[in-house]
Amino acid sequence: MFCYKCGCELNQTDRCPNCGTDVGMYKKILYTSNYLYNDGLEKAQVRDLSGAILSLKQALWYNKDNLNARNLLGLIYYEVGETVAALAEWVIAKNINDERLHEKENAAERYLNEVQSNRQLMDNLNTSIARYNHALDCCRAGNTDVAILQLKKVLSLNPHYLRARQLLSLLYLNSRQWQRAQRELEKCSRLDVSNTTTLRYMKEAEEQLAKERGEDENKRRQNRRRTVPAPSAEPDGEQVIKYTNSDHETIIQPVGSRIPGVDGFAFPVWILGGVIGAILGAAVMAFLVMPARIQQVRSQGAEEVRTVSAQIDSKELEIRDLQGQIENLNAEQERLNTELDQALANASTDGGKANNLFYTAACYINNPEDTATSTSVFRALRPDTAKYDASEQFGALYDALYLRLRSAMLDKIAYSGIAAYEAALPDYQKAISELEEANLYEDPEAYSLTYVKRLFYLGDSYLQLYLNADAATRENMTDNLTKAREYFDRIVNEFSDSEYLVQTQARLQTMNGL
Amino acid sequence: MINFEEELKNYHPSLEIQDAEDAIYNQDMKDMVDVMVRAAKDGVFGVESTPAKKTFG
Repeated sequence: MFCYKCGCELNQTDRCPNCGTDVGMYKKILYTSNYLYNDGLEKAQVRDLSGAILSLKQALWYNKDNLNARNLLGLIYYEVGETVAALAEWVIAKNINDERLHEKENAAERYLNEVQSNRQLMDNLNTSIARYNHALDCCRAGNTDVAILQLKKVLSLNPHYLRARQLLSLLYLNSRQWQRAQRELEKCSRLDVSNTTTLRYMKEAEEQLAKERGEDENKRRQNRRRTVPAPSAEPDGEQVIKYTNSDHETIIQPVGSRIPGVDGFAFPVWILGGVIGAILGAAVMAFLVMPARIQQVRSQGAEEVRTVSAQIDSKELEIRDLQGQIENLNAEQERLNTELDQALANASTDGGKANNLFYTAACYINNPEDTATSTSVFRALRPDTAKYDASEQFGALYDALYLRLRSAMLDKIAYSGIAAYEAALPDYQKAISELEEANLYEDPEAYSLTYVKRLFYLGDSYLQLYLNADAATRENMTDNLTKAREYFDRIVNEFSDSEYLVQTQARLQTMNGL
Repeated sequence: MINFEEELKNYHPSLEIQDAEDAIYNQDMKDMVDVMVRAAKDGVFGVESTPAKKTFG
């Protein structure tokens, strides 16, 4: 544990051994954060993931640098299918470790590497999220059949996606498919034992199932009462035959009852058999064959609707993909057009560049001492752009001339910039453009004598332009302050023995007061 | 009895992976330590928060 003020390692006491700051409360906060992390870890170990998320979030609220808590929170998010939240936590953990903590082992880096290096996994996660969002849209539009299909696909890609499974359960509950809902909720419960939404849905499914079971039981009891006659209904003193059929129903038949067609009824046996056969056939058709056939036709229709819905759905996804591709291609075409325009423009200026280079070379060969003439044209070939897209020969000639004319160029441009700054009426805009250009000719291995002076003039030119502007214009000139600070900081950090140090510090103070 | 329409309102679209950057930037990164350091700076803890004077010998 380190002091929040000076960074010194703390001991058992409540004072920092280095700066003496009271760190009692700071220690308590860190201990609380650690306690909450332990609590979260314990809950995660028994799969109480919702509870663990709460504890870990609190741990991070106490101490955002609690790396273990952040990594575990990411892991739990990943476990319940919240991929983006998990990646966010791991990225933050990695940044915190790189910036402040510098722990050798940071699990977040390993997790990120593992997830990001697996292309297939990333694609699956992306697709499952897109499909979940589409399913949610379908639910809101009342298209629950398609939503169920989509969610099943989501769960085949990412079986740990808790939110998707809960939504699927809700859809089953809504369509009164209690057992399916219960099966899905049991899976949710295995993933996160104490999720309130899961428990609420589970209670609903169980209540409905219990109600249905109760109704079935009642029906069965009533049927039994109808089929089993009470003992008093039995004919007194009469002999009866009792037998039980396959449904455990007791059938009572008086011994003396007559059997139709055998015991002397009027119809001949063959007519009676034909009539009974016809009645039985009609009954079989009406009660067995037709309902099964109707059911079959219905389920075929439902299956077709489902197939068509799935096809429409996949077509929609394809259309979305293709639209995305069209947008990408349009953007690509635009970029290529811009590049083409630029290339054409360069082609027209390439001739000019070559002419300037040849002219400079000719001047230099004629009179190497006359740098004024040589540099006048050479200046058009700026070092940062001259060799862009140029041939090897062009580059070689440019380098040779640059080597010989660099110093003269630097003196000439730097002098012009310094003069603009030091004039009775300073031209800060010109000073900036000249001094920035002069810096392009500076040798980083051996700075020229006026380098620090020019840094100060440059920074001050940016600052003065900002200070001279009115309030409305200043809003768009924040870059000036950034540039000015950049140059002033260089003087303070790299040239602290310079004569411009005091003035630079005064300017920085002015800037701090803005 | 669960109200489907009401329940559906609790479900929100998931952020896609390309939106992870927004999720990171939108994190509120203030914690209790920040609050305490700020309070100590503002002198909320009075004399206690000021460094103890070092004694020599």
